[in-house]
Amino acid sequence: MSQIYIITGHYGSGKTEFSVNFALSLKEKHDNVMLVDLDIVNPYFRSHDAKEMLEQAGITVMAPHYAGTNVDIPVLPPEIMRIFEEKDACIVLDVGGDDDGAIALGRYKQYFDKVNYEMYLVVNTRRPLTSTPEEIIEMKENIEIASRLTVTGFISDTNLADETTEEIIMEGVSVTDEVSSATSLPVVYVCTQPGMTLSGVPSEKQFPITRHLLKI
Amino acid sequence: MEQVFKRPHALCDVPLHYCPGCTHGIVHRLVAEVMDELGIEGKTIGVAPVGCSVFAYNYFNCDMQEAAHGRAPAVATGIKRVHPDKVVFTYQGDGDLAAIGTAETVHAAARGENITTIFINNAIYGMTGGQMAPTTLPGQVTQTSPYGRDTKTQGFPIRVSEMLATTSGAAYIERVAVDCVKNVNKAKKAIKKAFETQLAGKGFSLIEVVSTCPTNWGLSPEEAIKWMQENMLPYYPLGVYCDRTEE
Amino acid sequence: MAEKVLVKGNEAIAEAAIQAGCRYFFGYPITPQTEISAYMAKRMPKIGGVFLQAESEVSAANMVYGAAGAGARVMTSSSSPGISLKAEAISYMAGADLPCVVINVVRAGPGLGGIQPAQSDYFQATKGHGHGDYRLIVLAPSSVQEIVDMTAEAFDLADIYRTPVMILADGMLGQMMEPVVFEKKESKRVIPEKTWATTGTEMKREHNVINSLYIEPNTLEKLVLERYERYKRIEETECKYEAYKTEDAEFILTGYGSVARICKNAVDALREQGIKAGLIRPITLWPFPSDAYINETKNAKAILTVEMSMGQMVEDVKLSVNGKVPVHFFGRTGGNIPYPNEVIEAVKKIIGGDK
Repeated sequence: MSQIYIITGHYGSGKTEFSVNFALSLKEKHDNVMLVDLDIVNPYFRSHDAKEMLEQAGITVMAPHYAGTNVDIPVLPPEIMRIFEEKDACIVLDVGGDDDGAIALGRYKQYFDKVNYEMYLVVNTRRPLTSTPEEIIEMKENIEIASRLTVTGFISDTNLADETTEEIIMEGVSVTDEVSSATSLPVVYVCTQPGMTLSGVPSEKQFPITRHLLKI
Repeated sequence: MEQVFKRPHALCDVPLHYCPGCTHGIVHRLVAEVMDELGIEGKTIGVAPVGCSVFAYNYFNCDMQEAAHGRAPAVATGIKRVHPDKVVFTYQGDGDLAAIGTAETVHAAARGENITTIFINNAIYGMTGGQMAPTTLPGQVTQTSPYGRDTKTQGFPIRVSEMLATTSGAAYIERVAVDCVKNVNKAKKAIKKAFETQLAGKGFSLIEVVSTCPTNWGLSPEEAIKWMQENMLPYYPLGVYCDRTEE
Repeated sequence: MAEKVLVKGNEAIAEAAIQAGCRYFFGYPITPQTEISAYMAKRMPKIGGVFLQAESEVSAANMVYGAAGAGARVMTSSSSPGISLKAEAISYMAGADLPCVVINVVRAGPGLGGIQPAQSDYFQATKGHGHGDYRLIVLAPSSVQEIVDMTAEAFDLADIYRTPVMILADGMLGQMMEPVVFEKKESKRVIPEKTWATTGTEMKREHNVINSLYIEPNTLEKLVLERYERYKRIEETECKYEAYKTEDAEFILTGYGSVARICKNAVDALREQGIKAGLIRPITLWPFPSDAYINETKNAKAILTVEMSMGQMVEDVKLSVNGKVPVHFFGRTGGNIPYPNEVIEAVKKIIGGDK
């Protein structure tokens, strides 16, 4: 049976960088790893941008028909149905931001109901609109309504891009822990910078993120 | 001596530029009288169109904005959203409302925008010298339909009241005329009802006034009225097309 | 000190407008600025403001006219093709002396073009666009923090000078995420009361008329001359630019917005290679900082203008320099972004090989 990981969250939470890094880490232990870019919201900066690098690492990449071209039509290709038929694969679905992006999942509910999926909500408390536990829970509920699926865990990815410090990351960890208690769902990973070790977070939960996407 | 008639306060004490026999003068007066009777001049903002009535901003005593051609309902929307407690009306002709402004008109109605539109339908473009309008009748001769409006190449007239009545946001739509005393009184009642609809917050209201244009029709005022009664009223029947004021 | 948050350029514009007191936003979706509408749609109802998606960019701009004439702080935003549609309303607002803020997140053109970033609307923003004699204050941010500060400033400028103000961003800036601070700075400027607005006479004053129609030539001329007096004051007091390493620079790069960031990287790289490069970054595109090209080019032997277009700002650079120093141009178009190494190549070509 395959395992599907759906990565959602507020856009700007770090979903896409996490998805790419996560796919690469899964590849270390599994043969068949796929990354599906399901972003129907973001015209620039998407996991498709890292396609070449991921394919060289032996990861299959699937994206909307026009991703990486300069058309903004959010067409989802029929090939995506493959993810429900793959055997023994690890599939990472990078879903566009907020409920606006999560709505793309809604049409696949009948298929998701039959497979194993984990849906992780990536949280960056330094993003306005997801800085308090109440706002994060509201976002979780909106995403669940739009996708018709259930969130199974959180990824704490609080960051300020190039200005991220250990303090900022830990600030986000404490908010995400509050959300975790309130919802009885685990914090699966805490994202860190390469070379950084966080005291106070179990080491198996720490997940260093290397930035792979285009930036000026 | 008892004064039995005077200029309404909401109408400025200036000469109106309209041609003799033009119905704009009558309708301006009716709108101003309604403003006086409802006591709303101090809280009304009007939007003037591009057309013969472009100088309406000089004729009404309330605050006025001059809009680009066709855009009056959008301008009115901007005003009403900023001042929801004020009364906002547009005054438009057939080019303004039913040609270039069709989108703005339809969407203001569909949104149920709480504004009132006074629509002067005289089947022709007056200001620019008598060209065909969206409301020009089949066979009617105008500067740009010199052989008479040919429906095969120049299409059919638009019935605005019927069309807007199909939108769920419209609350009160009535078509009236001002060709005789009886109809002038009915028109005033309709205009008052439209403003009252707005005051009650019921949605979009529009009064279509079937009008004459003696100058561009090439007819005397009396002949123009007769032409209107014989030709326009059968195509644009008078009456109430939408009344959701009780809902 | 407010804490830093990570924001997308488009979101920054929306939030900064709200913090500047803007409570009315009329817009229409178009890539790459749709997030501004989406953000306003979520935020405005929560703070008692108005978000309305109009039936077209034309209608949205006319709703802005109405709201501005009624005395409100109001904004609209779009991208290149939509800004063309707004030309009429902007001309009317300039002619009626109405304050408002218009955001253009520029994409490739002409026509439907593409959705990737560009800078090919410079002429439209600073020279032409709507009909008639008028100027728009045009601001060009180069970072998300600058977008935040500039949007607040834009509303003040609009109210003080009674003119539409345009912020010319590009797709890249609109979509990029950077840490920013939203600090509610008390404006040191004096904002005049809007006694001219249509708020209802309350039977206490003469009626106010918002209008741009004046059929008597002398009347219209007088009004336009008065407006140009205000423009002159703007030129004298509101011009802004940034000069980077220009004191001893022999080669000046000049650009605005996203391109300026790229040029800065190029300047640093060139300096490491022993070439004395510097950067002039216009921040106000109108009024154009002509003086910068006299004051910051004391040692300059050449100027290279870099734009994401076929060369629009370069004409103003040439006018400012007035033949004193040769002005060259390098650009990419179609939605392509000039990368630092391309700029460095272009510089070296002009200098004539490695120094």
